Amino acid sequence: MIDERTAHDIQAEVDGENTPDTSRRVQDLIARDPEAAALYEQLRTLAARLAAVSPEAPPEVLRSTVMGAVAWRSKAPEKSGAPHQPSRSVQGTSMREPKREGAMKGKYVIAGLIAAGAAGVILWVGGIFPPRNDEAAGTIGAVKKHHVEQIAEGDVVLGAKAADADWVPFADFLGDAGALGAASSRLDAINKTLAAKDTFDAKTLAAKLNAIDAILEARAAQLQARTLESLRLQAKQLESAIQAKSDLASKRLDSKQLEAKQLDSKRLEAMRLEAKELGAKLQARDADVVGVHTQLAALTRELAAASDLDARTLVLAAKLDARNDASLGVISAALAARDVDLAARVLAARDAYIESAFAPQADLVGARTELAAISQTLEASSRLDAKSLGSMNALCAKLQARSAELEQRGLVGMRDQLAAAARDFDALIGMKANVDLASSSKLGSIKNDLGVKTLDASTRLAAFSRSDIGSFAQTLGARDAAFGAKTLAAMNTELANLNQVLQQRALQLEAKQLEAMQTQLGSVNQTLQARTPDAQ
Amino acid sequence: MKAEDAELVRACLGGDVEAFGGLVERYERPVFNAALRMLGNREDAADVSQTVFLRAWEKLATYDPERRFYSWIYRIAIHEALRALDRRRVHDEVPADAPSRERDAGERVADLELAVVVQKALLLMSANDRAVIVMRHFLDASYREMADALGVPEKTVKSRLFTARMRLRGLLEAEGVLGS
Repeated sequence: MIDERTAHDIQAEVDGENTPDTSRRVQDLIARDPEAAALYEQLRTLAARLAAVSPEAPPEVLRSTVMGAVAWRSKAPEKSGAPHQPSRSVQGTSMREPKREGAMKGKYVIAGLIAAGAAGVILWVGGIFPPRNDEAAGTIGAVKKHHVEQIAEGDVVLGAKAADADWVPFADFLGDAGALGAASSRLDAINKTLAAKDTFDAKTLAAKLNAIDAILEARAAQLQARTLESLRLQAKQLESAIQAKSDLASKRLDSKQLEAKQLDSKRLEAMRLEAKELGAKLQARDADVVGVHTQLAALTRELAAASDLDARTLVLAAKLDARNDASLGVISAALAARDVDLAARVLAARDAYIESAFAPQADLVGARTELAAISQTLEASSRLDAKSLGSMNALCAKLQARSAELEQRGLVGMRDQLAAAARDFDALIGMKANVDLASSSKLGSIKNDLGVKTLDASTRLAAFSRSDIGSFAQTLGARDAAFGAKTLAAMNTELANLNQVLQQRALQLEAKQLEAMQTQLGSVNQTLQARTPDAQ
Repeated sequence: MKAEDAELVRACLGGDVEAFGGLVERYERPVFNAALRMLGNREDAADVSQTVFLRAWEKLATYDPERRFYSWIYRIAIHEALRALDRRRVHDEVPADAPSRERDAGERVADLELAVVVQKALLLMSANDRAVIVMRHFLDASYREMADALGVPEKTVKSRLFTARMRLRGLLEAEGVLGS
């Protein structure tokens, strides 16, 4: 329940009379209290409705009537030598002091009547009253209208000035009151003048007074008739105005109805156009949806293909690993077999040489030469081994380069590249076998030559001591054994390194391939997710 | 107070009758409408308006130039309207007629019904309630100006205005002008 003070504050908020603090407080209250908000809304609505009441125009003659009366009041005393202005003698007079006001008003009325009487005497004695028609024009309102001008047919105003008729009764009322007061004052003044000066003819004065009375009576009758005529005219004008307004309203109604029909047809046409546009948009939208579905299907296929590619890549990588392992095993086995065979053959050659060397002790120089040749042959064989090792290194480098190239070119050509590499490797193995065969053949021929030469030299080496030969044979055996062990260890190390490099490269390649495939899958998934909302 | 009002008042006090015409021209419309809302018919409103301006002319010397002229003349207007209502009650002269639809139909079309209903509701209210409504809504008087014009404290003005508004709201709701 809102108390009285709060209700008054809400009212003051509507009227804009609250201080800023009170206004804030009231606004807060309105925001949280439905009852306060309802009261605020009621008062605001009431104010709005009252503000919608248009002010009415005052009568057109109000200003002229007021100014006429003011002019009369200000000029009437002027003729008696006392100009009237807004009085300063009544300062502080309250609107709620009727006695004092009444007294002041009474003083003004008496002063006005006396002044009017004096003016009347002057006019009469001077022969000015009654005035001629051309002197009747004036602007001082009701008094002059009554006392200077005789009523005529032209006094009834028609047409555009008819609105003034609305105020004739009030103006005449003021004029009548003033005129009667003036006439009474004039009569009193005349009587006083007659009594004081005793120079006027009583009969003449009485006749003139009677004439004045008759004029006044006639004026009253004319005024009554004029008032009645004005009222009738006013009634006719009101009827005409009502009729005109009704006609205008009917015309406006017809015009509004026509406008409404035109507006309806325009709206209908606009709605049809809008419906057509909407239909076209819907069709376009359907086409878009179909396109999106097609794209989605293509993406799905791409995804399936990618998944298949993934699986195939994994299988290929496994096969490649198996192939690499197999190739490495073959290579390792071949190298090991070759090395063992080479070492055996070298040792056999040495043994044969040593055995033959015991026989041809006679020609030690030749044997040394032959041994130098054998050593050269062995060195050549070692160089050949080194060359094979270099070829293996080159092959590894080539495989590495090919692996890098395969990484760049992708999985498609990997199998062919590896097959080519395997073929190259096989070719190298074949070449090595040929070289070994050639070496073996050469060793055979050397052996034959050595056998012949050994027979020849056996006689020449007879002088050599067995001990020298034994030490020589030990030196050669140690040297060959050291050479063979060193060569075998280097080749095994190299093979192990090569195997490790190949395994690392295979693992790196697999990791990169998987990473690339995951990236591709991620982009495909993003594309699908991006297109899926469009389709929805 | 507008500077023009002060100048016109000074001219009037100096004997320039035509200067008073400027004041009449400026305030005849609000004074007439206030009287019309108080009395209910144009003839009485016109009589009161004329009396207001004649009284203003007579009492112009009592006007304090430091205050607003419109506040001063509105105060006279409300008092004259109340006096006219008193005379009407005492002498049982012309009863306050509610404006007829036929008469307003000839003068205005757009807000005819609202004006008629509001006027009818105002005439059903007491003179004091009507006075505060007219001063607030048709003369845009502040609470202080209303208190000054009516010779009561501002608190009384607030209370009276609130009561009058509630009463007027009820009357307008009964006429269907305001929603309940």
